[in-house]
Amino acid sequence: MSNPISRRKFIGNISALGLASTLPFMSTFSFASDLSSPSNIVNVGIIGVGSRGKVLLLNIQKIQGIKIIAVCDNYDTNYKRAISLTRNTAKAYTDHRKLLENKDLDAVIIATPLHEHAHITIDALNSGLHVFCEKSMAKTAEDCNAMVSAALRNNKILQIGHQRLFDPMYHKAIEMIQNKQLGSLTQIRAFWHRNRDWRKPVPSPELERKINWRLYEEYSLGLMTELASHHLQVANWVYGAAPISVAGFGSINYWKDGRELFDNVNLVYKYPNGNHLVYDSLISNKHYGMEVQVMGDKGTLEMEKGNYFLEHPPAAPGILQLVNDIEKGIFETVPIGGASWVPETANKVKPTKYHQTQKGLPEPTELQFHSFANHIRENKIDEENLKHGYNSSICAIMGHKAMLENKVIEIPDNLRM
Amino acid sequence: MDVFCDTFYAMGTRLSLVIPQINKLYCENVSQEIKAEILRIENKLSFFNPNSDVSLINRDAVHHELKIDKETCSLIAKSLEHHQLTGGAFDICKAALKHGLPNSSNNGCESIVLDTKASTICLKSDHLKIDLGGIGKGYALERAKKILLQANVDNALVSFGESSILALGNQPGGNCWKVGLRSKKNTEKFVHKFNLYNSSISISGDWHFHDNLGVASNTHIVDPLSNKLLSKNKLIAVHCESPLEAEILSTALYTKSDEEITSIVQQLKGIKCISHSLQKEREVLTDYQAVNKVQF
Ligand SMILES: NC(=O)c1ccc[n+]([C@@H]2O[C@H](COP(=O)([O-])OP(=O)(O)OC[C@H]3O[C@@H](n4cnc5c(N)ncnc54)[C@H](O)[C@@H]3O)[C@@H](O)[C@H]2O)c1
Repeated sequence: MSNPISRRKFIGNISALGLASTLPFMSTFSFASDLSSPSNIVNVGIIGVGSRGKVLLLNIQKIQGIKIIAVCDNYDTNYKRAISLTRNTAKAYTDHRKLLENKDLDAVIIATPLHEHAHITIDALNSGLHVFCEKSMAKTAEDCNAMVSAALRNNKILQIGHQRLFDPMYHKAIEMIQNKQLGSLTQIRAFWHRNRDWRKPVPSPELERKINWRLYEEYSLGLMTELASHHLQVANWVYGAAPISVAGFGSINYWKDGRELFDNVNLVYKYPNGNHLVYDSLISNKHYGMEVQVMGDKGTLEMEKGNYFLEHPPAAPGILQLVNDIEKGIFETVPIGGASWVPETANKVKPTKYHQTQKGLPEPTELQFHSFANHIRENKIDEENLKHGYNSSICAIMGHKAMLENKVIEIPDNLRM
Repeated sequence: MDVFCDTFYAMGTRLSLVIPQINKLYCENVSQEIKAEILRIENKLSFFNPNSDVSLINRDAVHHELKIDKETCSLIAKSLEHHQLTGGAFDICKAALKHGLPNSSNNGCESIVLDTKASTICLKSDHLKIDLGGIGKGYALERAKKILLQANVDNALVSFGESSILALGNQPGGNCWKVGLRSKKNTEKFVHKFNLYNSSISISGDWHFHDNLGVASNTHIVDPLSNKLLSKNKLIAVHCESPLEAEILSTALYTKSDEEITSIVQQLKGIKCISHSLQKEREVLTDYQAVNKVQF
């Protein structure tokens, strides 16, 4: 892709898709047919084609207007798999620096382990490429800062893989929150629970750290960067702010198998106006699964399930009359309905689902690449997405620090985008 | 006089609890307990919740004997008993057809084999599913009644969707709770009044009222003979002691003719049944005890 002439054609209207435009970067979307025109194809390379990389690859293959012309993995099994997944149509590399020399590339997608995000991202941006990098951004605040600087310096897009930002159900929830349907927010409770060791099988012992990188502090911050970062991003979105301090405890109290990162974490994040996020995660019980419970004085949202609960749903007129009668000592007939009352509109005060999946709309994981490609075609840098990626990464990093150091960590202003 | 009132959503509608003359904080706790219990029942009996007992049965009990817990087993037993009592009108298999299932089989409750001793169920026909929607609200009110009585609440009115009412004791101003069926054409007027004292009423039929008193149509009862959703421009109200009984009977009797209803009501003791219908623009009220019709 090089020629920007027909770009205008692609700019679909987000509202046509039924997505609330609660975020500016959602405003460019397109499923227009002339995406097949060669001048509008966005050529991408995927670096790190492990489990997530494979999912991303398969999603991107569904998208007209994006072509995977290069893949890169330094683990032979996944390298070969990437070649076969692209049916030999992509050039394959084992070293990302070699891939970056490919002059036909417009952008790269990075799905390597966490410790391999920052330097590859910066290399790619410095090579003049746009970057989509999986969450979390990096293992340290310094690395996150360096990634943002590289994007700004090179004037390139850096998008972080927070697919909830592309989920219509989340957009609907944010809209309800902004419309004060929950009243004043005070607390979010979020959790992610699983019951398994979080290990992948290792073909031979020397590959342990390569494959199970999530368990070792050299490569990851464990539950915080790998799972919590998603809900931290959502909490920041809900509150429209990033937290100012965090405290918490972390332990390895179940999977004592040589791992170095916590299998049990509990944290409290404090936001500027006294709002809190209470977060916990563990991998020894899955009964409660995962959820983001947003609480306000008028209602509650369960954002993962899409449930809305009112604190005080209105009673029927007959019931209100009855209460009034009793208060005044009147003994009158209470009018009752016919068949069971049901809420009038789906939007109003439904006890359960507030959102129906829209037919024909791609999954959020795919949708984020439609947006990525359109931003590239538009050559449009949108900091909103990067902000989310940056702030949630800082939250994960600071939360981990609070647990390691056993103290309250104040998050300085200069670590907030 | 002090009165506690709380409303929450459950089972696709809302439940309001009115308790006069008792400490509000105490009532708040009772209300929370009732809410938790009703949401538990909803989760357990929901046709849509993939983890409910009903979903489990629909998935795993076809041509296979499935162990179920005592509570679910006794609710299904109650349903089958009323299938008999209502001459097949109450049918938890036919009820499932309203979800747009393949309508090929004509099988209903007869194809359920329930062993109440062993607490097992087997659905002896392909594509057979059950739906306990016709019993859920009634059972929920039964449980609410138990919680209220255990908490020594003697006087209370519980309205589930304004269609299923449980009345304990009396309104403080009188010797019972008076509820009235609204006229469909003139919502200021009542077409019939019931005096409830330690008793329940359940209404089934084709319409309900919005809060602004606009009329909404509401078709959800499957005719066990035709397997189709019925629409008769009519409501059936059943008044008896047990909310569960009232719930089942109002649904079942809706599908029946006047003669059949009269005969069933005569057989069952302690049951009052009223129908309210629109016939050629006129509202007609039928009282099946008195076997009389009143027109408005
Ligand atoms: N957004 C989401 O929901 C989501 C879900 C899962 C994982 N992820 C993220 O995706 C990333 C990868 O996770 P995963 O589960 O796929 O891990 P993985 O271990 O399965 O895959 C990582 C791949 O990167 C390769 N790799 C490592 N270093 C490399 C290098 N220098 N050059 C090229 N390839 C290299 C590995 O060989 C491996 O194939 C992580 O950042 C993770 O947080 C995101």
